[in-house]
Amino acid sequence: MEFKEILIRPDKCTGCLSCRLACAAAHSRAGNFLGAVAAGEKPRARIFVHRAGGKNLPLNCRHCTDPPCVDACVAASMHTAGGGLVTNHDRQERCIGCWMCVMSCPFGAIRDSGEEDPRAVKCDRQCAPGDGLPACVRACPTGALTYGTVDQFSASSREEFLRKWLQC
Amino acid sequence: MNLVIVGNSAAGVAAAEAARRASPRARITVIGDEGAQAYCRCLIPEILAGTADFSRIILRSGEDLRREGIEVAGGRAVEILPGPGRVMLEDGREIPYDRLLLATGAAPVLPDLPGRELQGVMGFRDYSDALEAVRIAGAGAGDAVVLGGGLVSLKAAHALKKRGFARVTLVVKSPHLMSKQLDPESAGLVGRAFEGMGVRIIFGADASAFLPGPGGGGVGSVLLEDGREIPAGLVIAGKGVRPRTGLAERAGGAAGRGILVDSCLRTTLPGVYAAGDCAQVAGPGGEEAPWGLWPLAVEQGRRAGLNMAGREEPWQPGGVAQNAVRFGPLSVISVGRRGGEEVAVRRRHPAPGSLRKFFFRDDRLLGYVFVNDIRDAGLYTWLVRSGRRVPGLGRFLAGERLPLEAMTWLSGRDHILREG
Amino acid sequence: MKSHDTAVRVMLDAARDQGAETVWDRHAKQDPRCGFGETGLCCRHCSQGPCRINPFGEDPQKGVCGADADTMVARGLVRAIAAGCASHSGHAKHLAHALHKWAKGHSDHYPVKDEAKLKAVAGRMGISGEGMETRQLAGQLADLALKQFAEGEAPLAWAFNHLTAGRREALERLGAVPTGIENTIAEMLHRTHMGVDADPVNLLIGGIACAVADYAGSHMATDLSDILFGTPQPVASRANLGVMDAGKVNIALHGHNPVLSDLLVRAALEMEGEAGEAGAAGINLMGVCCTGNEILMRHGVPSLTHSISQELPIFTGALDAMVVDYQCVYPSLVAAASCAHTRVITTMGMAKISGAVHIEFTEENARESAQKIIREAIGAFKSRKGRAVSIPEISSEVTAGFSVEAIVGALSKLDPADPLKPLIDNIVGGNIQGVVLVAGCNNVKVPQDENFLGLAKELLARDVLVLATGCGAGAYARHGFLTPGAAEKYAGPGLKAVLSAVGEANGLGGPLPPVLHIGSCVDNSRAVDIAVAVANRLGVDTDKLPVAASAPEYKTEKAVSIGTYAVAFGLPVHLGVVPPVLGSQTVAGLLTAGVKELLGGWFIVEPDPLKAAEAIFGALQERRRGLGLASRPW
Ligand SMILES: Cc1cc2nc3c(=O)[nH]c(=O)nc-3n(C[C@H](O)[C@H](O)[C@H](O)COP(=O)(O)OP(=O)(O)OC[C@H]3O[C@@H](n4cnc5c(N)ncnc54)[C@H](O)[C@@H]3O)c2cc1C
Ligand code: SF4
Repeated sequence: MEFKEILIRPDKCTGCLSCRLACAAAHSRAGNFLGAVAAGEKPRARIFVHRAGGKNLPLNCRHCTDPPCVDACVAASMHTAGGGLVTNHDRQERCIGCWMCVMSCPFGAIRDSGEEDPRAVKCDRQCAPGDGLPACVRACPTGALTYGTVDQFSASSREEFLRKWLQC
Repeated sequence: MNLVIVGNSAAGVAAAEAARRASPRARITVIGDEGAQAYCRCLIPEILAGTADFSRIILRSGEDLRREGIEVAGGRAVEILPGPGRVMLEDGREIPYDRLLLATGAAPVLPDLPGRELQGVMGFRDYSDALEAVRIAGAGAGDAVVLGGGLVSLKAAHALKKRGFARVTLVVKSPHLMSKQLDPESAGLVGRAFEGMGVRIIFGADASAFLPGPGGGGVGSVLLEDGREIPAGLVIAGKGVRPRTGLAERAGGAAGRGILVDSCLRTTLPGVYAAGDCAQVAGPGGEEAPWGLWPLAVEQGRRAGLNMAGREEPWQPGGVAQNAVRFGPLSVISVGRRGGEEVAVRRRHPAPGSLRKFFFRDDRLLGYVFVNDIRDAGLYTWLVRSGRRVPGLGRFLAGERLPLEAMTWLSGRDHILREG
Repeated sequence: MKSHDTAVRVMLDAARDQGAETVWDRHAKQDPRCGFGETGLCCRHCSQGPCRINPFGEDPQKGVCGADADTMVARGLVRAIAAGCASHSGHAKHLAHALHKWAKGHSDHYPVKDEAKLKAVAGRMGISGEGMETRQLAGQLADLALKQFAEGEAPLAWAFNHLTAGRREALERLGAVPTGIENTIAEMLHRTHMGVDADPVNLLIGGIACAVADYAGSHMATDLSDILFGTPQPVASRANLGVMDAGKVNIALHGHNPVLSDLLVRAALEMEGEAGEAGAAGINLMGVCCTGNEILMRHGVPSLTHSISQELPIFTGALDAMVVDYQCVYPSLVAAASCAHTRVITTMGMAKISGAVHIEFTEENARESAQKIIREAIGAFKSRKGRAVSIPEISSEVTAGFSVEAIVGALSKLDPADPLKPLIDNIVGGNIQGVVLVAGCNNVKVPQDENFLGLAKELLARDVLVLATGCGAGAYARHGFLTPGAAEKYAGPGLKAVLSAVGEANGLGGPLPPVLHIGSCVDNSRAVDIAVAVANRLGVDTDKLPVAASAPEYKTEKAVSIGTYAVAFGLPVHLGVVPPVLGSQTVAGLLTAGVKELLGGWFIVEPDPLKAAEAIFGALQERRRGLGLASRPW
């Protein structure tokens, strides 16, 4: 099965941060937004919305093929699991929170869990019940985030689009 | 094809697995003198501290590797014969190879001082070192001295404190900690954190001798050059490592500080590659190697493994000094070099005592040091690694705004946009 | 499921077939909702914003100005209360003007209809009226009413005169004493402006004062409506879409104020002939939302539908006009009507909808514009000829009209000397475990009527008497809860016995309905009046009574304000939709717990109707124990 990706259309991002809340909520103990807020939980979002030059760029783990974070993990916690998912959620107990992966991710997609004994957390796709749509994709009101497989042939058009987007 | 790898650790395992992926049919053997289980070397402080046992720090068990079709041969290689393509083991076995990788890592350097042979004076590199330190702790030692202010020394000191040593003293020659990685201000934050943990730090001093304890046999104190004597039932010397170049050199291979390799990680010996802490990569970006860094050992190991399997491609060095570490609530990331212009951002949020320093020249980021506030570190690491010019960089850094340029570059990596 | 109302479900299919959009479609398009707004952590009070605060403790934690989560949530909440208060009291002011204009001779369309009520209200407000003519007394009362809107020197009389002494003291202790309605609203807008009040507790106290001002406005609206249009008495009618009649000119009256709708009821009677000339079998007036409640209570005009299903009558093809005044009127009506012949007619200069027919309605020209409106509807009826019509044949019997006077009247048949005694005796004896006022709207986030029905079934079966207002009463009307039969079906044995006894004594030949429709949403004041009367009779404060309130499907700012005054008067108040306050633990904690120490009332937030019923029942039992009465387990 081909690994599905969270596809990003930065031009559609309004910077509403809904994806961040949904991501955090999906990773809460309550498992839903209002429940987590009501319980005073502090789950961490694993998607970021950067703003630069007047543009918004939502960004989370790209699940790289040769992930620098896996190379960097000195604890054999971060790994590429079945289907290409780069994660440490199933090896959390091994993570010592040394931030080697945080230092290595070119997308800044890994962060600390904020717990007393912090661990590294990232997009781990443990957020997609039922319809299988990741929480951030479900939460995005504008379609800046979608979920699908990569069209290999669109790489060049992608670059073209990007160049235009960044230039204007 | 018969591929043999000496060294069952970061570089060795990465090489074996990459070679297996590239060449499903090749015969792959890993020789290691630390037993069949490759482990996470950087986590031996957890063993010393008592926060993990061996099973928790296994990198790949012998069983894991066998499942991938990789044989593991326990034993020490003592000689290589590049002509016939053979590795001789200490126990007399001979292992033939078509391609050989040396991933022998580095050995700790013990200072050449009187008393260095005393029990309890040790380096801190292997699982066995951690076990030995735990044994000495169990025998009731309450005083420990750690020589050196580098990363390994600090990790050791932190672990000793957690293990329950009542008095831990760091003896540091330079005027501040982690002098290779940190500027004095950041180092000061680290120093204060260690003092907060109850670790005593003596700066500007060095050991001159190790003195036996009352019972004989084991070490009892450390004598400093200035004449001070510090009680110590355990002395850990974190004063650098020496790449294990012997196998290559004895076979006539060239070595500088490490085994010399070209950009494809080939040594000067035919069919022999080297990767990881034992290797020194020639060419731009590689001069400062060997790095003594786990991620680079993995990267090099993987490249070497692929190349041995027949895909000769250069390793994109881009290697820079980079380290991340956390001691309890204190987090430190240091990447690249210091120098050039400097921008510092000090904050009380998200953690008290947060400090972010950036060093840049001609709109290129040379390096950075983050203390406590580690957000987005990787973005900056890759800005350093790429050596990319970002007009107006200083302004962006002061505002800690991801520069548009960096975004362009990030996006250009083809990873971000998955849709046209 | 979108609605528990079968007629609504039939019409939703029709809407789908017609390709029409409804509130449910728009609701779906709004998903996903913004979590910042949902938790009250989005501020747009100045143009440095919008500012958001991350409820999970991440950045940002403060607005640009430095407002933190507590300030933001409190400011948002009290602004909602101010808006609710402005709505109810705007409605009241409109009535005061009508009475005033009649009293001063500027309009003859609004004569006093209920002189007894005029005297009673005047008496409560300290006007003796001895030897005064009706018009003179009405003039004095209207003057006094209008003065309530401006800043006065004493506590706002229209609220404080209708509270127990204990309540007045409690509010004074807290510093939640409004001295005028509009200055209180204005002050809340001032205080929530950027850089004014940033103390969440202080803001909430201000909000409570504003809710008390809302109570004054609501009470005034009820009082003046009764004076002008008659105090409701039990009346039989029907409710739901089946009340439409294809052969008649179907006119829906939607909104809130009887100032318009009562006049239309009169005008319709006069214009039957005109309708006949147009080929209609008559004029069929029907109510939607609280306008519907006003004319149901006083004239037995059937209710068409309520709240979120307000667009659906249009899709029958048989609705000739939807006449609206203000509040809860979806602007979408115009789009819904665009493919039908239905005329959407706005009537208030301050509440227009672009695309609608506007026929300005003022107190002076009331009769003419009422006629004009009906004529417009007759015209639409004519243009309907030949078009397909499909009316779901679904409607329920309804008995409504339970004003305080009507209830007391019914009880007095049991004990003419002391009408409250039978009620109190039955509460003490346990036949009635307590009284719950169920109010508020439908909310598209809740399957329509689900919480209303679930809550009532649980409470009635446990001998809790239910009073209903607004669209809550509408829900019970459409589902047959406002009938004697419902007492047989839903009421527990104790409650059934009481309802039967009252019914018998009144010669109804059956029990009273177990849910008493006491009016529109301003008529929540009627429920407070009953509570105050019982409390005074018992010599306790209202915060001791086994009385609670619930807005299980609320949506409006008015509901927030009503809920707040109910809490201020010491009632446990259930909300079935989570209000946007979760972003501040301080504010949420104050509302659900802290305020109980200060005022005796508190909010119970519980979306699940069964759990809510259990919580409310528990609160009633706590009160019973406090009074030394026998309590029951759930
Ligand atoms: C306490 C500690 C903490 C560290 N923390 C970090 C950190 O946070 N970040 C970071 O980047 N790096 C860290 N390092 C450094 C990191 O561990 C090394 O860079 C990395 O292990 C190098 O991997 P390697 O495979 O090249 O060599 P090694 O890990 O040294 O492995 C070489 C292996 O080869 C075996 N071997 C050698 N000679 C022979 C022979 N002749 N025959 C058979 N086997 C042989 C050795 O026994 C060893 O098992 C740390 C090191 C230590 C000791
Ligand atoms: S008032 Fe304060 S919090 Fe609100 S928008 Fe302005 S700066 Fe932001």
